[in-house]
Amino acid sequence: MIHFLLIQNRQGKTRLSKWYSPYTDAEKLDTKAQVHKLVASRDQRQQSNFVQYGDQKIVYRRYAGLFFCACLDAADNELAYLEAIHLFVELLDGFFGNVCELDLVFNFWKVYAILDEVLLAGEIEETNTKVIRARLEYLEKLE
Amino acid sequence: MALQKVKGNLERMFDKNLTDLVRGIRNNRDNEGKYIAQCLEEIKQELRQHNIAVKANAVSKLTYLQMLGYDISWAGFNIIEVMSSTKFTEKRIGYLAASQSFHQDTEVLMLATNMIRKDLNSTSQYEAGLTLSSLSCFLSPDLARDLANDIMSLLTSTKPYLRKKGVLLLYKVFLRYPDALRPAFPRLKEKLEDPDPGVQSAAVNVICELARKNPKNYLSLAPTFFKLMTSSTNNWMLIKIIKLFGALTPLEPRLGKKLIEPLTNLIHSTSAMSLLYECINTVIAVLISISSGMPNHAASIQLCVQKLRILIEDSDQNLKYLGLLAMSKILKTSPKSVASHKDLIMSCLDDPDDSIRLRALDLLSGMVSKKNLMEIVRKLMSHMAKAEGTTYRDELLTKILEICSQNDYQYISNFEWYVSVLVELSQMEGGSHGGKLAHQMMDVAIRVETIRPFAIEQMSLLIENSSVLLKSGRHTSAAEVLYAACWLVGEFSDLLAKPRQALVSMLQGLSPQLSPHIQATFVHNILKLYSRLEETDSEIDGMILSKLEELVCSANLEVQERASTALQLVKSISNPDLGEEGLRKEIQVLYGGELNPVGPKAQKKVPVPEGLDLDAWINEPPAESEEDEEIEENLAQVFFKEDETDRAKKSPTEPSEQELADMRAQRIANQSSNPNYLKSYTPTSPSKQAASLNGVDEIGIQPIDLDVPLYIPGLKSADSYFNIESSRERKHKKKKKKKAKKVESSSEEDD
Repeated sequence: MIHFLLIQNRQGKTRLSKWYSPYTDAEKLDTKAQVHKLVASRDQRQQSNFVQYGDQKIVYRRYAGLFFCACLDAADNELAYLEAIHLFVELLDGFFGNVCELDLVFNFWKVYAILDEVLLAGEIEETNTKVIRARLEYLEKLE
Repeated sequence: MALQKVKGNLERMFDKNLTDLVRGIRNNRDNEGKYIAQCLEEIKQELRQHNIAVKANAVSKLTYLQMLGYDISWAGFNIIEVMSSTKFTEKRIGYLAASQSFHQDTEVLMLATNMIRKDLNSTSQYEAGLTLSSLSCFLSPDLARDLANDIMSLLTSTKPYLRKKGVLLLYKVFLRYPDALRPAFPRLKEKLEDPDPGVQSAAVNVICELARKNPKNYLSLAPTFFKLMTSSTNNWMLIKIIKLFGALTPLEPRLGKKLIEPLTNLIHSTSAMSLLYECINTVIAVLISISSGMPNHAASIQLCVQKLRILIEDSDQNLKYLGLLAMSKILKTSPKSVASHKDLIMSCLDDPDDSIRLRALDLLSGMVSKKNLMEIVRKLMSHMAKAEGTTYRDELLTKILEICSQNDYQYISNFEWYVSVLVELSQMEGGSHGGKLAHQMMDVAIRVETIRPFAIEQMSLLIENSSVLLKSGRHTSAAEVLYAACWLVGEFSDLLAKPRQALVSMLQGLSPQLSPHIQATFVHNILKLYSRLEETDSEIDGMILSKLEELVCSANLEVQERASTALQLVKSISNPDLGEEGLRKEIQVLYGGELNPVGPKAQKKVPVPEGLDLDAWINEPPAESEEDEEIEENLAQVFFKEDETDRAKKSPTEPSEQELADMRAQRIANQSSNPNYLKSYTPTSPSKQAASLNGVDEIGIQPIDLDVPLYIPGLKSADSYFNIESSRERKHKKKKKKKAKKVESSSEEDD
């Protein structure tokens, strides 16, 4: 299962953090800093997208200026969750239309709602993009 | 009253909404703290209003601030107020704030139980869905207990959206409140056959996670999963099911046998890399658990290795990494199938990604054999030369030592080569592995008799050039090696060609810069060497005396003690009044006899003589007197060779010395006649024991980075054992000599 999902920019600012396991506030801050240190220093082209993090591993991908990092158990299939991250990013792109970092900043609660459609309680919830998009359109109309 | 209302409305117009807040923060980057403090004040004002919309606005701003790192736990009650709003958009804001800032132990949660229940059962599926999503973040054991029934009834809801969310949330409920598992389990099983694929895969997910914790209970579901696996096309679900089977096979070997076929089919047919990887992993797990006997297995292993090779050859770093990871798992069970791909793995060592390099390194150490050992080590050493000052270099060094010393040096055919490898390694920069190197050198020199002359020559050369080694700042590695070098030179000094010169270089090499235990060993071994000298030499006497006098003032106890003992001894030898020839012979007796390594079970072979009761008290208790005896024993053994005859003398009735001497002679005869016998070495020799008492500490000295490797003339380079002597290598050596001369001359200038 996923323990947490972080979206951070290259300077280390967290644009979204979703925690699926119990972490205290101090631990959350600490983890954010550590993950940023681990991930930001890696070379995109030459190094793999998986990093060891204690007894867990972090699967990440960089999209433009943002790092999407997910922390998994040691036994999880990294490639599958990498695809899940990609699915999430595709949904964001479809929803906001050519999404950029500012979109995520100003509409952060919508981003959380979209995330809740893809992941729940650390597990992949829905993978059918058509279904999710239909639901998100409906929710938009409510606003 | 009306005026107040108008005033209130006017004020509300100037309220910041979320967009304004974000913009404001971005504009006020210099005085962010002040600006946010101001906003917080405004938010607190807004929260005091009665209007829910205003409160919702305030809470949404608070959520943003929480994301930036500010604590908003003081607003817990307000968040719950907003959660209770009837409007969906406001409710959503409240729940989001709750999921971000509440956790299991938040006290205000108790107020919310009823409200959450109402929301769960609400008619609108989106409200219920919202509740379910947020609930997963702050589900406490109490809430889990109270709401378990409601969530379970959701499993039978008409809307698949809710069923799916309910299933996933159940996992969290089980984690917090395990008693809910029993009644919920049958319903969960039903969901495996739900018509909606989303719900189905959610159920698979949950059961897989549960099974990972406790596989036994879910064995009965294996047939259902098998059916799902063969019929489904949803890759996500397949991955989870296959992983689940991987967890179940250790318990049920028949399951494993049945699985091999569909898994191999999947491996052949799928184009998804993630699924392929998962299948390979599970096949390996299955094959490990089944005892090898069936011929199919070789074929499946071959298939896996083939596919993994494709993965490793791929240019995508991720696939390479995963391929290597899976290969190392196969290595544990069938190393031969992996051995044929050695060339591929060696090429992975050159990869720019160091996590891939580390994996390749691990693999290589499992694939070592007599023939390829030298080649592999050579390659690793060239890597070490390139990788300066990184942990990778340390890893490499450890690995080299590990693979060479595996199984009592099983793979080393040419020990001369190995000694030269060790010497070369010690010349390399930095690292904290000097201790290991030293240990290896001593190990090899002691156990392999034939190599001793060569090793001793190399060691004495090292000592001669120790000052150069030290000055270049490679304290950690080189210093420990000097410890080994001087001990070996002292111990086997009869094999030295030029003992006098060695003694001189040892005296010169003994500098206060070295760490105390090394200094102590130097002193001790200087004495040993000195006793071997044939004739007096007042020059040497003078040098020794002056050096020892320096050391007597050392701050370290061990050094001081040894130095003063040695000083007295040397003084009495060099004193012409005391008939030094005789004294010299006496001193030689101190170091007479070879220190035989004692086998670990040797003591047991000594027959306990009749009438001796090892458990009886020697003296009357108390225990203190026995301790004193032990301490005295140890002191007495400092200058005497420790062997069974001495120990036996201390027991009340002694076995006959003749018997023991006979046994020993026989054993030695056996050992020397057997050419393959490598004497095992246990650290029972007193000098090593005393030296190791000080511990092999890591010296935290900052190494100075030198790009130039040192070339010390006379020290053999490992490459000379290779027949491949290209002209490039010769040129390289010439360049090294020139650079080394420059370095040496500059270091002499520094003096």
